[in-house]
Amino acid sequence: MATHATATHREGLESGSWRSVTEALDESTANRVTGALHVDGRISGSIYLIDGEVYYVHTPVAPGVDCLLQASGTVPAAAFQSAWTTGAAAGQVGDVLIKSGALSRGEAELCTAAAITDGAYALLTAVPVDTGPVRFAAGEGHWWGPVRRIGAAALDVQIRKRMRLLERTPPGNVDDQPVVAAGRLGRHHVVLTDLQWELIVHANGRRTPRELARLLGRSAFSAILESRRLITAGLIQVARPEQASQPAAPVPAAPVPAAPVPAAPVPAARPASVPAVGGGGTGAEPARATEPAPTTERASGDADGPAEGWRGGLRTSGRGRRKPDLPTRKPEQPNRRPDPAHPMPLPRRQPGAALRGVVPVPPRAETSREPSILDVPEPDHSLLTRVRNALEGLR
Amino acid sequence: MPGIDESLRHAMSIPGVLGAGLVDYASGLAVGSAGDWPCGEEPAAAGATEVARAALENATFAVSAAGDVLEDIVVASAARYHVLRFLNARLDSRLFLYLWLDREHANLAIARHRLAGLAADLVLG
Repeated sequence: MATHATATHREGLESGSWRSVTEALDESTANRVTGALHVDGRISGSIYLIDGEVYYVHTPVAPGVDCLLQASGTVPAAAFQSAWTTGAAAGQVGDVLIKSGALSRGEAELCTAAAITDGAYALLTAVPVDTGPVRFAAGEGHWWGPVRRIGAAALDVQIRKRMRLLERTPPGNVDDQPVVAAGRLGRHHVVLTDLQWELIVHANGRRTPRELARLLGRSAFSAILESRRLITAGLIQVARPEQASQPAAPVPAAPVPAAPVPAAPVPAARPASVPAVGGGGTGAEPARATEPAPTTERASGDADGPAEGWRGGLRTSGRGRRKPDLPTRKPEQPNRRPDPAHPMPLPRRQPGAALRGVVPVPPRAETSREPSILDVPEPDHSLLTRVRNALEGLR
Repeated sequence: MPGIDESLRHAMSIPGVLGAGLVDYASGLAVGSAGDWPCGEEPAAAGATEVARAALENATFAVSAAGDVLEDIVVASAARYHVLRFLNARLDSRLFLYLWLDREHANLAIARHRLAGLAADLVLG
Protein backbone atom coordinates (compact mmCIF):
# COMPACT_ATOMS: atom_id res chain seq x y z
CA MET A 1 0.00 0.00 0.00
CA ALA A 2 2.72 2.37 0.95
CA THR A 3 4.60 1.45 -2.16
CA HIS A 4 1.60 2.25 -4.24
CA ALA A 5 1.22 5.60 -2.55
CA THR A 6 4.83 6.40 -3.21
CA ALA A 7 4.46 5.41 -6.81
CA THR A 8 1.51 7.75 -7.18
CA HIS A 9 3.51 10.51 -5.69
CA ARG A 10 6.34 9.86 -8.05
CA GLU A 11 3.96 10.21 -10.91
CA GLY A 12 3.34 13.76 -9.89
CA LEU A 13 7.03 14.22 -9.58
CA GLU A 14 7.86 12.69 -12.89
CA SER A 15 5.18 14.49 -14.79
CA GLY A 16 7.30 17.51 -13.91
CA SER A 17 4.84 19.31 -11.78
CA TRP A 18 1.44 19.60 -10.30
CA ARG A 19 -1.02 22.03 -11.68
CA SER A 20 -1.59 23.82 -8.42
CA VAL A 21 0.02 24.14 -5.04
CA THR A 22 -3.10 22.84 -3.35
CA GLU A 23 -3.05 19.72 -5.47
CA ALA A 24 0.61 19.12 -4.73
CA LEU A 25 0.10 19.63 -1.01
CA ASP A 26 -2.95 17.38 -0.88
CA GLU A 27 -1.11 14.60 -2.61
CA SER A 28 1.99 15.02 -0.46
CA THR A 29 -0.13 14.94 2.66
CA ALA A 30 -2.02 11.86 1.57
CA ASN A 31 1.24 10.07 0.91
CA ARG A 32 2.82 11.30 4.15
CA VAL A 33 5.94 12.41 2.36
CA THR A 34 9.02 14.04 3.82
CA GLY A 35 10.69 16.65 1.72
CA ALA A 36 10.06 20.00 0.11
CA LEU A 37 7.57 21.27 -2.43
CA HIS A 38 9.10 24.05 -4.47
CA VAL A 39 6.79 26.52 -6.08
CA ASP A 40 8.09 28.68 -8.88
CA GLY A 41 6.46 31.64 -10.49
CA ARG A 42 5.69 35.21 -9.60
CA ILE A 43 4.64 34.01 -6.16
CA SER A 44 7.34 31.53 -5.28
CA GLY A 45 8.23 29.57 -2.19
CA SER A 46 8.80 26.19 -0.63
CA ILE A 47 6.68 24.06 1.65
CA TYR A 48 8.59 21.68 3.90
CA LEU A 49 6.97 18.52 5.12
CA ILE A 50 7.62 15.72 7.55
CA ASP A 51 5.36 12.70 7.26
CA GLY A 52 2.93 14.74 5.26
CA GLU A 53 2.70 17.51 7.84
CA VAL A 54 3.90 21.02 7.13
CA TYR A 55 6.63 22.24 9.44
CA TYR A 56 7.85 25.27 7.53
CA VAL A 57 6.91 27.45 4.61
CA HIS A 58 9.42 29.73 3.04
CA THR A 59 8.31 32.43 0.64
CA PRO A 60 9.59 35.89 -0.21
CA VAL A 61 6.04 37.24 0.03
CA ALA A 62 5.72 36.64 3.76
CA PRO A 63 8.20 37.21 6.59
CA GLY A 64 9.93 34.06 7.79
CA VAL A 65 10.82 33.17 11.37
CA ASP A 66 14.16 34.92 10.98
CA CYS A 67 12.42 38.18 10.16
CA LEU A 68 9.64 37.76 12.74
CA LEU A 69 12.09 37.04 15.54
CA GLN A 70 14.70 39.65 14.73
CA ALA A 71 12.68 42.57 13.48
CA SER A 72 10.47 42.32 16.55
CA GLY A 73 13.57 42.35 18.74
CA THR A 74 12.64 39.01 20.27
CA VAL A 75 15.93 37.39 19.37
CA PRO A 76 19.00 39.57 18.93
CA ALA A 77 20.77 39.15 15.63
CA ALA A 78 23.87 37.79 17.33
CA ALA A 79 21.91 35.05 19.09
CA PHE A 80 20.18 34.16 15.88
CA GLN A 81 23.45 34.03 14.02
CA SER A 82 25.05 31.79 16.54
CA ALA A 83 22.04 29.47 16.56
CA TRP A 84 22.12 29.38 12.81
CA THR A 85 25.79 28.55 12.83
CA THR A 86 25.22 25.72 15.27
CA GLY A 87 22.02 24.26 13.97
CA ALA A 88 21.53 25.12 10.34
CA ALA A 89 23.42 22.18 8.89
CA ALA A 90 21.42 19.75 10.96
CA GLY A 91 18.19 21.63 10.35
CA GLN A 92 17.68 22.43 14.02
CA VAL A 93 18.03 26.18 14.36
CA GLY A 94 14.67 26.39 16.14
CA ASP A 95 15.65 23.79 18.72
CA VAL A 96 19.03 25.39 19.25
CA LEU A 97 17.38 28.73 19.98
CA ILE A 98 15.00 27.12 22.46
CA LYS A 99 17.79 25.26 24.22
CA SER A 100 19.90 28.40 24.38
CA GLY A 101 17.12 30.11 26.31
CA ALA A 102 16.72 32.88 23.76
CA LEU A 103 13.24 31.70 23.01
CA SER A 104 10.64 29.75 24.95
CA ARG A 105 9.18 26.68 23.32
CA GLY A 106 5.83 28.39 23.25
CA GLU A 107 7.25 31.38 21.42
CA ALA A 108 9.09 29.19 18.95
CA GLU A 109 5.92 27.24 18.25
CA LEU A 110 3.84 30.39 17.88
CA CYS A 111 6.37 31.96 15.62
CA THR A 112 6.63 28.83 13.52
CA ALA A 113 2.88 28.53 13.26
CA ALA A 114 2.66 32.17 12.23
CA ALA A 115 5.30 31.76 9.54
CA ILE A 116 3.70 28.57 8.24
CA THR A 117 0.21 30.01 8.07
CA ASP A 118 1.38 33.27 6.62
CA GLY A 119 3.49 31.65 3.93
CA ALA A 120 0.94 28.97 3.15
CA TYR A 121 -1.72 31.63 2.80
CA ALA A 122 0.37 33.40 0.19
CA LEU A 123 1.18 30.23 -1.72
CA LEU A 124 -2.16 28.48 -1.52
CA THR A 125 -4.35 31.46 -2.25
CA ALA A 126 -2.28 32.76 -5.15
CA VAL A 127 -4.06 32.56 -8.45
CA PRO A 128 -2.62 29.69 -10.49
CA VAL A 129 -1.23 32.14 -13.00
CA ASP A 130 1.06 33.48 -10.31
CA THR A 131 2.42 30.14 -9.23
CA GLY A 132 4.27 28.09 -11.76
CA PRO A 133 5.04 24.42 -11.63
CA VAL A 134 5.38 22.72 -8.28
CA ARG A 135 8.11 20.16 -7.90
CA PHE A 136 8.95 17.84 -5.06
CA ALA A 137 12.40 17.31 -3.61
CA ALA A 138 12.35 14.21 -1.45
CA GLY A 139 14.14 14.43 1.87
CA GLU A 140 15.00 18.09 1.56
CA GLY A 141 14.72 19.97 4.82
CA HIS A 142 14.70 23.50 6.12
CA TRP A 143 17.24 24.97 8.50
CA TRP A 144 14.60 25.98 11.03
CA GLY A 145 13.60 22.39 11.73
CA PRO A 146 10.33 20.87 12.83
CA VAL A 147 9.38 23.01 15.81
CA ARG A 148 5.68 22.73 15.19
CA ARG A 149 3.83 20.78 12.54
CA ILE A 150 0.51 21.65 11.04
CA GLY A 151 -1.55 19.14 9.11
CA ALA A 152 -2.78 20.20 5.71
CA ALA A 153 -6.40 20.03 6.86
CA ALA A 154 -5.79 22.36 9.80
CA LEU A 155 -3.81 24.64 7.54
CA ASP A 156 -6.66 24.72 5.09
CA VAL A 157 -9.09 25.71 7.83
CA GLN A 158 -6.82 28.52 8.97
CA ILE A 159 -6.36 29.80 5.44
CA ARG A 160 -10.07 29.74 4.70
CA LYS A 161 -10.82 31.67 7.86
CA ARG A 162 -8.24 34.25 6.96
CA MET A 163 -9.56 34.52 3.45
CA ARG A 164 -13.06 35.10 4.74
CA LEU A 165 -11.82 37.71 7.18
CA LEU A 166 -9.86 39.56 4.52
CA GLU A 167 -12.65 39.31 1.98
CA ARG A 168 -15.08 41.06 4.24
CA THR A 169 -12.60 43.74 5.26
CA PRO A 170 -12.91 46.76 3.00
CA PRO A 171 -11.46 48.28 0.90
CA GLY A 172 -10.38 45.07 -0.79
CA ASN A 173 -6.98 44.23 -2.14
CA VAL A 174 -4.64 47.18 -1.80
CA ASP A 175 -1.99 45.02 -0.19
CA ASP A 176 0.65 45.73 -2.77
CA GLN A 177 0.05 49.42 -3.13
CA PRO A 178 2.04 51.99 -1.23
CA VAL A 179 0.21 53.57 1.65
CA VAL A 180 0.67 56.87 3.39
CA ALA A 181 -0.62 58.28 6.65
CA ALA A 182 -3.55 60.61 6.28
CA GLY A 183 -2.74 64.26 6.74
CA ARG A 184 -5.94 65.22 8.48
CA LEU A 185 -8.32 62.94 10.24
CA GLY A 186 -11.52 64.92 10.29
CA ARG A 187 -12.37 63.70 13.75
CA HIS A 188 -11.39 64.42 17.28
CA HIS A 189 -9.63 61.33 18.44
CA VAL A 190 -8.59 57.82 17.59
CA VAL A 191 -7.56 54.81 19.60
CA LEU A 192 -4.82 52.68 18.11
CA THR A 193 -3.39 49.26 18.78
CA ASP A 194 0.35 48.83 18.77
CA LEU A 195 0.42 47.35 15.29
CA GLN A 196 -1.80 50.11 13.95
CA TRP A 197 0.54 52.67 15.41
CA GLU A 198 3.55 51.01 13.84
CA LEU A 199 1.86 50.82 10.47
CA ILE A 200 0.88 54.49 10.52
CA VAL A 201 4.29 55.63 11.60
CA HIS A 202 5.97 53.70 8.83
CA ALA A 203 3.42 54.32 6.08
CA ASN A 204 5.52 56.79 4.16
CA GLY A 205 3.86 56.62 0.78
CA ARG A 206 6.40 54.21 -0.62
CA ARG A 207 5.88 51.06 1.37
CA THR A 208 3.06 48.66 0.73
CA PRO A 209 1.31 46.83 3.56
CA ARG A 210 3.17 43.68 2.62
CA GLU A 211 6.50 45.47 2.82
CA LEU A 212 5.53 47.04 6.11
CA ALA A 213 4.97 43.56 7.51
CA ARG A 214 8.51 42.62 6.69
CA LEU A 215 9.93 45.86 7.99
CA LEU A 216 8.10 45.52 11.29
CA GLY A 217 8.55 41.78 11.69
CA ARG A 218 4.80 41.29 11.71
CA SER A 219 2.93 38.61 9.89
CA ALA A 220 1.85 39.64 6.41
CA PHE A 221 -1.71 38.70 7.25
CA SER A 222 -2.01 40.90 10.31
CA ALA A 223 -0.25 43.82 8.64
CA ILE A 224 -2.53 43.56 5.62
CA LEU A 225 -5.66 43.19 7.70
CA GLU A 226 -4.83 46.14 9.93
CA SER A 227 -3.80 48.25 6.95
CA ARG A 228 -7.19 47.67 5.39
CA ARG A 229 -8.88 48.61 8.63
CA LEU A 230 -6.78 51.75 8.87
CA ILE A 231 -7.62 52.71 5.31
CA THR A 232 -11.29 52.22 6.02
CA ALA A 233 -10.95 54.32 9.14
CA GLY A 234 -9.25 57.03 7.11
CA LEU A 235 -6.00 56.93 9.04
CA ILE A 236 -3.88 55.84 6.13
CA GLN A 237 -4.59 55.97 2.44
CA VAL A 238 -3.29 54.46 -0.75
CA ALA A 239 -0.60 56.71 -2.09
CA ARG A 240 -0.80 57.88 -5.66
CA PRO A 241 -2.86 55.13 -7.16
CA GLU A 242 -1.72 55.92 -10.68
CA GLN A 243 1.74 54.75 -9.70
CA ALA A 244 0.60 51.89 -7.62
CA SER A 245 -1.36 50.41 -10.46
CA GLN A 246 1.83 49.60 -12.28
CA PRO A 247 2.23 45.90 -12.69
CA ALA A 248 5.41 45.98 -10.70
CA ALA A 249 6.03 42.76 -8.91
CA PRO A 250 4.59 43.12 -5.44
CA VAL A 251 7.02 40.61 -4.17
CA PRO A 252 9.61 42.33 -2.08
CA ALA A 253 13.22 41.45 -2.10
CA ALA A 254 14.06 37.87 -1.50
CA PRO A 255 15.01 37.27 2.09
CA VAL A 256 18.72 37.33 2.10
CA PRO A 257 20.88 38.14 5.06
CA ALA A 258 21.18 41.81 5.65
CA ALA A 259 24.30 41.54 7.67
CA PRO A 260 27.23 39.31 7.29
CA VAL A 261 26.56 35.91 8.66
CA PRO A 262 29.66 34.40 10.11
CA ALA A 263 31.15 32.02 7.66
CA ALA A 264 30.64 28.98 9.73
CA PRO A 265 31.77 25.66 8.58
CA VAL A 266 28.92 24.42 6.50
CA PRO A 267 29.13 20.76 5.80
CA ALA A 268 27.76 19.19 2.69
CA ALA A 269 24.28 19.28 4.07
CA ARG A 270 22.85 22.68 3.39
CA PRO A 271 20.09 24.55 5.06
CA ALA A 272 17.48 25.99 2.82
CA SER A 273 17.57 29.71 2.48
CA VAL A 274 19.85 31.59 4.72
CA PRO A 275 17.96 33.51 7.35
CA ALA A 276 17.86 37.22 7.23
CA VAL A 277 20.07 38.27 10.05
CA GLY A 278 19.37 41.84 10.94
CA GLY A 279 22.61 43.41 11.82
CA GLY A 280 21.12 46.77 12.65
CA GLY A 281 18.69 46.03 15.41
CA THR A 282 20.69 43.89 17.65
CA GLY A 283 19.31 45.51 20.75
CA ALA A 284 16.38 44.08 22.56
CA GLU A 285 14.27 47.11 21.84
CA PRO A 286 12.46 47.01 18.58
CA ALA A 287 14.33 49.87 17.02
CA ARG A 288 12.34 49.75 13.87
CA ALA A 289 12.70 53.29 12.84
CA THR A 290 16.43 53.08 12.72
CA GLU A 291 16.74 49.51 11.70
CA PRO A 292 17.14 48.83 8.04
CA ALA A 293 14.82 46.23 6.72
CA PRO A 294 16.45 42.90 7.17
CA THR A 295 15.80 41.86 3.67
CA THR A 296 16.80 44.75 1.58
CA GLU A 297 20.46 45.11 1.79
CA ARG A 298 22.28 43.16 -0.77
CA ALA A 299 25.38 44.22 -2.46
CA SER A 300 25.21 45.00 -6.09
CA GLY A 301 26.74 42.48 -8.37
CA ASP A 302 25.40 39.77 -6.18
CA ALA A 303 23.83 37.91 -9.03
CA ASP A 304 26.58 35.41 -9.16
CA GLY A 305 27.58 35.90 -5.60
CA PRO A 306 25.55 33.19 -3.97
CA ALA A 307 26.81 30.30 -6.02
CA GLU A 308 30.33 31.53 -5.83
CA GLY A 309 29.94 32.14 -2.15
CA TRP A 310 28.63 28.73 -1.51
CA ARG A 311 31.53 27.03 -2.99
CA GLY A 312 33.76 29.30 -1.02
CA GLY A 313 31.83 28.49 2.13
CA LEU A 314 31.90 24.82 1.51
CA ARG A 315 35.60 24.75 1.11
CA THR A 316 36.18 26.11 4.55
CA SER A 317 36.73 23.31 6.89
CA GLY A 318 38.09 25.00 9.99
CA ARG A 319 35.53 24.54 12.71
CA GLY A 320 34.29 27.61 14.42
CA ARG A 321 36.69 29.89 12.67
CA ARG A 322 35.51 33.06 11.14
CA LYS A 323 38.24 33.26 8.65
CA PRO A 324 36.95 31.47 5.65
CA ASP A 325 38.75 31.66 2.36
CA LEU A 326 36.19 33.89 0.88
CA PRO A 327 35.97 34.47 -2.77
CA THR A 328 38.42 37.19 -3.48
CA ARG A 329 36.36 38.68 -6.21
CA LYS A 330 33.95 40.47 -3.93
CA PRO A 331 35.65 43.71 -3.04
CA GLU A 332 32.38 45.33 -2.02
CA GLN A 333 31.89 43.00 0.86
CA PRO A 334 33.89 44.77 3.52
CA ASN A 335 31.80 47.85 2.94
CA ARG A 336 28.56 46.09 3.16
CA ARG A 337 27.78 46.64 6.77
CA PRO A 338 30.32 47.76 9.27
CA ASP A 339 29.46 45.40 12.05
CA PRO A 340 32.42 45.03 14.32
CA ALA A 341 31.04 41.88 15.85
CA HIS A 342 30.88 40.06 12.57
CA PRO A 343 33.50 41.40 10.30
CA MET A 344 33.41 38.67 7.73
CA PRO A 345 30.38 38.12 5.58
CA LEU A 346 29.14 34.65 4.92
CA PRO A 347 28.82 33.50 1.39
CA ARG A 348 25.23 33.78 0.37
CA ARG A 349 23.07 31.16 -1.00
CA GLN A 350 19.83 31.03 -2.81
CA PRO A 351 16.49 30.19 -1.29
CA GLY A 352 15.52 26.67 -1.97
CA ALA A 353 18.94 25.10 -2.04
CA ALA A 354 18.87 21.63 -0.69
CA LEU A 355 19.54 20.82 2.92
CA ARG A 356 19.84 17.09 2.67
CA GLY A 357 19.53 16.75 -1.01
CA VAL A 358 22.87 16.72 -2.66
CA VAL A 359 22.19 18.88 -5.68
CA PRO A 360 22.44 22.56 -4.95
CA VAL A 361 19.85 24.70 -6.59
CA PRO A 362 21.47 27.06 -9.06
CA PRO A 363 21.01 30.72 -8.37
CA ARG A 364 17.87 32.10 -9.80
CA ALA A 365 17.93 34.66 -12.50
CA GLU A 366 15.84 37.20 -10.65
CA THR A 367 18.61 38.46 -8.46
CA SER A 368 18.94 41.80 -10.16
CA ARG A 369 18.25 44.15 -7.36
CA GLU A 370 16.91 47.58 -7.52
CA PRO A 371 17.07 49.92 -4.62
CA SER A 372 14.17 48.91 -2.47
CA ILE A 373 11.84 51.42 -1.00
CA LEU A 374 12.65 49.91 2.35
CA ASP A 375 16.15 51.21 2.11
CA VAL A 376 15.29 54.43 3.85
CA PRO A 377 13.81 53.62 7.20
CA GLU A 378 13.90 57.19 8.37
CA PRO A 379 10.88 58.05 10.45
CA ASP A 380 8.84 61.01 9.41
CA HIS A 381 9.42 63.27 12.37
CA SER A 382 6.81 65.80 11.50
CA LEU A 383 4.28 63.02 11.20
CA LEU A 384 5.32 61.53 14.51
CA THR A 385 4.93 64.88 16.12
CA ARG A 386 1.49 65.33 14.61
CA VAL A 387 0.34 61.95 15.77
CA ARG A 388 1.71 62.56 19.23
CA ASN A 389 -0.03 65.87 19.46
CA ALA A 390 -3.24 64.30 18.27
CA LEU A 391 -2.99 61.60 20.89
CA GLU A 392 -2.18 64.06 23.61
CA GLY A 393 -5.29 65.90 22.62
CA LEU A 394 -7.31 62.88 23.67
CA ARG A 395 -6.72 63.32 27.31
CA MET B 1 9.21 25.29 29.19
CA PRO B 2 6.02 23.88 27.81
CA GLY B 3 4.83 24.37 24.29
CA ILE B 4 1.34 25.35 23.22
CA ASP B 5 -0.31 21.96 23.50
CA GLU B 6 1.34 21.15 26.79
CA SER B 7 0.31 24.51 28.25
CA LEU B 8 -3.27 23.84 27.29
CA ARG B 9 -3.08 20.40 28.88
CA HIS B 10 -1.83 22.06 32.07
CA ALA B 11 -4.69 24.52 31.84
CA MET B 12 -7.12 21.62 31.78
CA SER B 13 -5.91 20.61 35.23
CA ILE B 14 -7.07 23.88 36.77
CA PRO B 15 -9.99 23.13 39.12
CA GLY B 16 -13.38 23.63 37.53
CA VAL B 17 -12.07 24.09 34.02
CA LEU B 18 -14.27 23.10 31.12
CA GLY B 19 -12.13 24.21 28.24
CA ALA B 20 -9.01 26.12 27.38
CA GLY B 21 -7.71 27.70 24.25
CA LEU B 22 -5.10 29.98 22.81
CA VAL B 23 -6.66 32.63 20.61
CA ASP B 24 -5.05 34.99 18.15
CA TYR B 25 -7.07 38.15 18.49
CA ALA B 26 -5.58 39.69 15.38
CA SER B 27 -7.48 37.16 13.33
CA GLY B 28 -9.98 35.84 15.85
CA LEU B 29 -8.77 32.31 15.28
CA ALA B 30 -7.84 29.66 17.80
CA VAL B 31 -4.21 28.58 17.62
CA GLY B 32 -4.81 25.63 19.91
CA SER B 33 -7.51 24.26 22.16
CA ALA B 34 -8.34 21.62 24.74
CA GLY B 35 -11.58 20.50 26.32
CA ASP B 36 -14.91 22.03 25.38
CA TRP B 37 -15.78 25.47 24.10
CA PRO B 38 -18.96 27.30 24.99
CA CYS B 39 -20.37 27.26 21.47
CA GLY B 40 -17.82 25.49 19.33
CA GLU B 41 -14.27 26.53 18.82
CA GLU B 42 -14.63 28.92 15.95
CA PRO B 43 -17.55 31.04 17.19
CA ALA B 44 -16.17 31.07 20.72
CA ALA B 45 -12.76 32.25 19.57
CA ALA B 46 -14.37 34.93 17.44
CA GLY B 47 -16.65 36.02 20.28
CA ALA B 48 -13.88 36.14 22.83
CA THR B 49 -11.82 38.13 20.36
CA GLU B 50 -14.51 40.76 20.12
CA VAL B 51 -14.52 41.14 23.89
CA ALA B 52 -10.73 41.35 23.97
CA ARG B 53 -10.60 43.94 21.23
CA ALA B 54 -13.36 45.96 22.79
CA ALA B 55 -11.34 46.22 25.98
CA LEU B 56 -8.02 46.80 24.27
CA GLU B 57 -9.30 49.52 21.99
CA ASN B 58 -11.39 51.29 24.58
CA ALA B 59 -9.86 54.36 26.12
CA THR B 60 -11.52 53.58 29.46
CA PHE B 61 -9.48 50.43 29.88
CA ALA B 62 -6.37 51.78 28.26
CA VAL B 63 -3.24 51.97 30.29
CA SER B 64 -3.48 54.57 33.01
CA ALA B 65 -0.06 54.34 34.59
CA ALA B 66 3.39 53.80 33.20
CA GLY B 67 4.23 50.11 32.90
CA ASP B 68 0.61 49.17 33.28
CA VAL B 69 -0.80 46.65 30.84
CA LEU B 70 -4.12 44.99 30.40
CA GLU B 71 -3.68 41.55 31.96
CA ASP B 72 -6.92 39.71 31.88
CA ILE B 73 -10.63 40.01 31.38
CA VAL B 74 -13.10 38.11 33.54
CA VAL B 75 -16.65 37.60 32.41
CA ALA B 76 -18.91 35.91 34.92
CA SER B 77 -22.30 34.42 34.26
CA ALA B 78 -24.45 32.69 36.83
CA ALA B 79 -22.98 29.30 36.01
CA ARG B 80 -19.67 30.00 34.30
CA TYR B 81 -16.51 32.04 34.38
CA HIS B 82 -14.68 33.11 31.26
CA VAL B 83 -11.14 34.30 31.81
CA LEU B 84 -9.12 35.87 29.01
CA ARG B 85 -5.44 36.25 29.81
CA PHE B 86 -3.30 38.32 27.45
CA LEU B 87 0.14 37.07 26.57
CA ASN B 88 3.20 39.24 26.64
CA ALA B 89 3.50 40.64 23.14
CA ARG B 90 7.17 40.03 22.62
CA LEU B 91 6.57 38.45 19.29
CA ASP B 92 3.98 39.49 16.82
CA SER B 93 1.72 37.63 19.17
CA ARG B 94 -1.59 39.23 19.77
CA LEU B 95 -2.75 36.29 21.77
CA PHE B 96 -4.75 35.47 24.83
CA LEU B 97 -5.31 32.30 26.76
CA TYR B 98 -8.97 31.61 27.13
CA LEU B 99 -10.28 29.62 30.06
CA TRP B 100 -13.85 28.48 30.48
CA LEU B 101 -14.82 27.35 33.97
CA ASP B 102 -17.70 25.91 35.89
CA ARG B 103 -18.45 28.32 38.72
CA GLU B 104 -19.54 25.59 41.04
CA HIS B 105 -16.15 23.91 41.05
CA ALA B 106 -13.86 26.74 40.16
CA ASN B 107 -12.01 29.23 42.31
CA LEU B 108 -11.53 32.39 40.32
CA ALA B 109 -8.42 33.48 42.20
CA ILE B 110 -6.74 30.13 41.71
CA ALA B 111 -7.73 30.02 38.07
CA ARG B 112 -6.33 33.48 37.42
CA HIS B 113 -3.16 32.67 39.29
CA ARG B 114 -2.58 29.44 37.40
CA LEU B 115 -3.41 31.08 34.11
CA ALA B 116 -0.92 33.86 34.78
CA GLY B 117 1.76 31.25 35.37
CA LEU B 118 0.92 29.45 32.15
CA ALA B 119 0.97 32.69 30.20
CA ALA B 120 4.36 33.60 31.64
CA ASP B 121 5.81 30.20 30.74
CA LEU B 122 4.47 30.30 27.23
CA VAL B 123 6.09 33.58 26.28
CA LEU B 124 9.25 34.85 27.87
CA GLY B 125 8.89 38.28 29.33
